[in-house]
Formats: sequence, structure tokens, C-alpha cells
Amino acid sequence: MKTILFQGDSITDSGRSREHYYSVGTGYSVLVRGKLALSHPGKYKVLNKGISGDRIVDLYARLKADILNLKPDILSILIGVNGVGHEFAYQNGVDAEKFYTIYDMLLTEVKEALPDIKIILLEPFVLCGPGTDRPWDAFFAEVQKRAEKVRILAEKHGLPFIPLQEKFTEGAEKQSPAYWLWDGLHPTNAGHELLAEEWLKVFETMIEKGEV
Amino acid sequence: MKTILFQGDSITDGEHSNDNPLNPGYCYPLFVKSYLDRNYPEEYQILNRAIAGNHVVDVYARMMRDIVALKPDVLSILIGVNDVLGWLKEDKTSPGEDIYYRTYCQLIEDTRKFLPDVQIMILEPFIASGMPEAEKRGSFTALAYRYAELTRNIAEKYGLTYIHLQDKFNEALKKAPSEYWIYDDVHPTVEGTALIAEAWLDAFRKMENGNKK
Repeated sequence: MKTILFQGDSITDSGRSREHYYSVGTGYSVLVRGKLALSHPGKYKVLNKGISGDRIVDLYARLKADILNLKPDILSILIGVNGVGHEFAYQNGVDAEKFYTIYDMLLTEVKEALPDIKIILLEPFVLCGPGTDRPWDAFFAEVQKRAEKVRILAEKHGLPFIPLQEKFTEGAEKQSPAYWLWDGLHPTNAGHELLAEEWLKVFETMIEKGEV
Repeated sequence: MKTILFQGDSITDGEHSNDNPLNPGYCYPLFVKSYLDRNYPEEYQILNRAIAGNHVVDVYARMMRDIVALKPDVLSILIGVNDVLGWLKEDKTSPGEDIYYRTYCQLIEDTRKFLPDVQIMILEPFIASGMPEAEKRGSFTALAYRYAELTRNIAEKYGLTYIHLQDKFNEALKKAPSEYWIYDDVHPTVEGTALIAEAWLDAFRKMENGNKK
């Protein structure tokens, strides 16, 4: 059985229990896990170690315990919005350049320690809502800078990149921003399903190519 | 907007929140809600009022508050495994199959009395047969199958949508070991939960298509 590890912040964490392996929260990693059980029974073990509030520097600090020691075959990372949000809220953010530098270090060190690992990078995304209206234009511009950095990192390291901002923007036009991201940051159940769908689209092509 | 209400025990409960609609529990109602919200925006409202440890008599006791008052268009019930487990305990904490059958029938009849148009879906209680711990307790498997049969009879008697789960789990056991699907004889893992959601959505689609005709 191959191990898939989901890493990130609250979007990935999504209420998972720290004590009980079976109390898994309500996020996209759970939905992915369920869908993979139906399409590829017994092939993957899915772990979620996302932690609410994490910025890239926090994830980097957890590199040994929460990535390398778990020896995943596949690592999925979604991070970036707290580096923006925490700057607006607490002047404790991570600027775009530093985000790039630390993320690059993280990826390099993971690949050095686990040469066969497959890494998937997810684009950070936001919509206008109470969590992002600080004001919205400034917040969105900062998140887009991080999204661009993730795209560049994916190219540099030759990794699959999952675009998400456009999908959420499209959804917001059809329903409302809050229908997909209830506070502009955190996905609703519909938003998590969309995330899981986009993730699986990329993952299924990796399966077809025999990469995972 | 149609309201779908999930009732049952811990298999349905999944530490859901009654106040936060974004937390329908991490069990199959989560898979159902995520799928329906994504693909049929604003058509369905999902409520979960299952309570861990419930027997059929407990659901019956909660009927007015936790079913009738919520006025569901669709009521989905998965109950029975605690009735099986309780009957096998030395101090018999569940009332046995006659009262199971009678109370379940009463629950359906009384619910229909107050909600004549409600569509009711009954899920089959299931266990991880083939699991060593369950095998050791031979009476457990036999009794669980007996309760499943009674439940099926109730669905037939009232013409309700019935979702077969034991066969589905038995089939799944051929593809991956039992602990992949069910972790302690009765509780599904995320993977087992996905099986229930798949069966539920199949049955629901058929029911909805029938409604449109």
C-alpha cells in the first residue's frame, strides 16, 4: 500500500482529531480517501497532517516529524494564505519572497531525504469574504503573488501543479463566494468536494502514467 | 429545497454538529452532502441527527423532536447494530428482535402519520463478517444477519427504498482486508464510509428519477 500524505493549514486540517485516527474531519483529504477506496481499493493509505494556522515557516518547522519521518510515497501540499492573513491580522505574515525561499528549501530537503517521493503542489486560493476583506483587493493581490510562486516552484522542481483559484472564482459567479468558501478562505462541503475533484483529476493522470 | 435527514447510531453520527451545517459528521452523510452540494447547488439541505449508541427504541423516543419537527422530505435511517450487540451482552441492554421489529414498524407508521409525504430510505445494518473477532462470536454474525433480514422485511412491508449493505461489504472484502473497510467489527473506516455513501447515492438517484417521472 502506498502512503499519501496531505500537508497544509486549516483547509487541509479541517477539524481532524489529533487523538483518534478514525476521527478525520470533513475536508478534501477525507473525500479523496473515500473516492480512492472506491476506484482503487486497498492501494493507498491516506494520512492528513495539516495544522490549522500554519504558514510555510510552520510547515518547514514540522518537516522532520510530520513529513520525512512518515516516509510518504506521495506528498500533497496546500499552503500560503496564512502568510497573507496573519500579516493583515497580527503583522506576523510571511512575505512572498520569503514564502518562495522557505517553500523551495522544504521541497529540496524532502527530495533529498526521499528521492522517490512524488510531490503535488496545490494553488492557494481565496474569494471575497469576511476573512479576506482587509480590504479584498490588497488581500487578493498578495495571495496571487503566492500562487505565482507555487507555480514557479512546481516548474522548477518538475512537480504537478493543481490550479484552483479559477475554479473557485467560476463557482462564486454561479452561486456566491460563501457557497464555496464560507469566509472567503475556508471551503464549505461543496468547496472541499471541488478541491477533491481537481486533486483526483491530476492524481488519476499520474496513476495512468504509472507514477503513483 | 428538499431536506434530507439522516438518523441512526454512531455509524451515521460521526461527531456531527447540530448547529454547524458544515459539519455533517465525518461519516457517510459528509460524502453525500459534499457530493450533492457540489453537483446540485442549493437543491438539498442535509441534516444529521444520529446519536452514537442508539438502538431503534432510542430513535423512536426521539421521533417528535429529531424527525417530525424537522419536516424532512427524505428520511434516511441506519439502525440495528446496537440492538444486536446489546442482545449479546450478559445484562441484555437491548430488548431483542420482536421489540426491534415492532418498534421499527411503529417508527415508520408514526413518522408517516405526521409526515405523510416523507420518502423513507432504510439502510441495512451490517458487520464485518470474516473478521476474526466477529468469527469468534459466531452468534454475532448469525444475529446480525437476522436483524438485517428483519430490517429488509420492514422496508418491504412499507414499500420503502432499501439499501443492501452486507453484500456490498462482503464483496469489498474480496478486494481489500476487512480492517481496510471496518475497523472494529461494526464501525466503517473512511473507506467503508465511502461504500455506504456510494450505495446511498445510487438508491437516492433512482428514487429522485422515479419522482420526476
